[in-house]
Amino acid sequence: MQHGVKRTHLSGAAAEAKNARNRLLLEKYVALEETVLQKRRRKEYTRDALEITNELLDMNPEYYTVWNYRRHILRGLFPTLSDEKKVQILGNEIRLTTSYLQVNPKVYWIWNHRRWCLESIPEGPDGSEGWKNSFWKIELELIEQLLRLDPRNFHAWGYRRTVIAGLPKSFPGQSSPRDEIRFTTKKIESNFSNFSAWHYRIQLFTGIWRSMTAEAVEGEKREEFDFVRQALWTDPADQSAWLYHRWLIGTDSDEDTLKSEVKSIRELHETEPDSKWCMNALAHYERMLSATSSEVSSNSCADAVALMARLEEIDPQRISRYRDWVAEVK
Amino acid sequence: MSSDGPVRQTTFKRNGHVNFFLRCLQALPASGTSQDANRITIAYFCLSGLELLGALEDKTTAQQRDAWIEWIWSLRSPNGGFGGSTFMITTSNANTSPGHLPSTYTALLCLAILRAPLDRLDVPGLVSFLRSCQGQDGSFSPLPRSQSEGDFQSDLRMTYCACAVSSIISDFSGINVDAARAMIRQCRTWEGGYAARPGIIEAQGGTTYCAMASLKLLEADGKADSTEDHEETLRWLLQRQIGGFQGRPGKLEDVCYSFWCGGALSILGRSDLLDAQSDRTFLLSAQYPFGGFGKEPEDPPDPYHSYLALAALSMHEPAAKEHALGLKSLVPTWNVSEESAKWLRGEISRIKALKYPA
Repeated sequence: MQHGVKRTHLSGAAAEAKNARNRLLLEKYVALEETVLQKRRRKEYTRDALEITNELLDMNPEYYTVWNYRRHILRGLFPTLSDEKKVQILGNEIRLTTSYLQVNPKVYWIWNHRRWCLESIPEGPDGSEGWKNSFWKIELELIEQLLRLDPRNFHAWGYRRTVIAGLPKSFPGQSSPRDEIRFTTKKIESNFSNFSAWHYRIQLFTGIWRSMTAEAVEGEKREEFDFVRQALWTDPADQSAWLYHRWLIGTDSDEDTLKSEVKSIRELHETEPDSKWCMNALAHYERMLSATSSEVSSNSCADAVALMARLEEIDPQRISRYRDWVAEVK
Repeated sequence: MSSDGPVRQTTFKRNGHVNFFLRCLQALPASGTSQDANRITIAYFCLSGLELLGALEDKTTAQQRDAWIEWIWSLRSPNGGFGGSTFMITTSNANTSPGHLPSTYTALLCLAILRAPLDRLDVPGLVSFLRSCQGQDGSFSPLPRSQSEGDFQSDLRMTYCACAVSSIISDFSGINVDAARAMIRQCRTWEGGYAARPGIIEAQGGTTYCAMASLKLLEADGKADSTEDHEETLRWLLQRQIGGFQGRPGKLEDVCYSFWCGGALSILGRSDLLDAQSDRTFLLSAQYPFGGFGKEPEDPPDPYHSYLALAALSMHEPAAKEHALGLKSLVPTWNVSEESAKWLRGEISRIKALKYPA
């Protein structure tokens, strides 16, 4: 289904002409489909068959059995071809999927075919990883392009992960988890409201911190608090940074961290009294504080409840949720 | 021609929607070619939509329904599942005409909606079909593993379809339940929602519904898994409402998420926490003047968004009839009317007693 394509209102002759064109397209599609399926049933793994699948995929790139058939054809042809020829053909396949992805960046089948092509690249030339390196370079460029167009395309993010994980050993510019964190920093700094980049950052740190000492992790967390604070002050209306902050706090932050973060957010709240994210965060952290230390307990609790009352006013859609929260606290 | 575009809808265009689904059952425009391999699922959107509107019996004939029933039976694969469209099942060889998991789920619901006697249903075949789709990691592929290349597209949507089919046939022996539960758990992200697969992708409304519904359906095997706390999931779902619902933080409203997120909330038993009025207003505003719903106001309609919008509206129906839109009530875990769900349960019992007595 085509999302976001505005229908224009046609009348009379124009509408008739459009219907006629539609009918022709559908007739062409149905005929093409019958031809392809026939060839597939007869197990025709030839160049001609490849050409015909091209035509059908142009009209319907989501037709997964045709992608399957195409791979069968290629597997059938490859044993008779030199490595150079295989690389040339795989290059064509990559270019084909690139053109489809420009129009359909979220179709699983197209990404899958591209992945298969990458996996099929032979060693070479001459025992080097030359071919693989040039294909991988193209992959990283495509992903960069797609993420620039739509930073939230999780197919592109997921595919990037696959590509990074499979980087040829001799590829210039390896990408360790630290390099990937720097990549997310770049993305975030170019646009703080980039939830997917913050999200990826979390996955990366979760992995990295698993094998570090608690002390080392605390040190890095402090740096991350500084980093996210910049985003919060730059645009308190964007939720990505707030969610990241909440993840950093986690479920077991010590009292000092909680207190210093609450202090910092309170300052922000003074300049942004109607920021719902500010208030949500404050209420949540005050509640956590009240559980850690009895001396702050009743104050924190009262503050949190007061914030919820204010939230009911500025975020009425979640009024039931806020009341529910207050009932739980009490 | 006005340059302002269509006026935002506020009244419910019942007849328009009925006619929209009837038209789609006949044919889709060229923009629908991408769905050619999924005709059974499109049929499900249309038939379930018509049923929720209470128009199925009035606006279709017994002959039409019988013909559709025969068409659905023709989609059976030799390996026990159903294919997505006629040309997907062309041989009696399970390898070249494999069943397709999502199509199997929607085919069963279509048969139920049409009240098709299920004597021809191969229940053991369905069980072995499900088994053939599950991998070592507990995930399910849309096609039997022998037909699938790697773990491609083995995501929570497939897990949901497998759980739904098992629930429908009241037989979970085709699923390794522990492995399925473990896979679902791994899909939960730091956000509290659920992503399509474990790894780096974001939690999303559709896959969060799939997780909640799957877990609920898996409780039927007798072993309720109460270890998982869904407080964060609840919070994540409620944050998705921005009038209508969005699929992920920062994205725009899309009517389908009113069902995915609203349905998940209903399964968690906390529909009371969402703002039904705001959601209803958004949904009605996404109606196309001549029927159907687009993903957002002024978008052209398609069967998927049209059906899910109605499913969401059905869950908002107030008890007081004078304020209601007249939609039938829905079972959120199967995503079909209560009437059809009840009939299906009864019919499955009947044929199992008959064909496979204990």
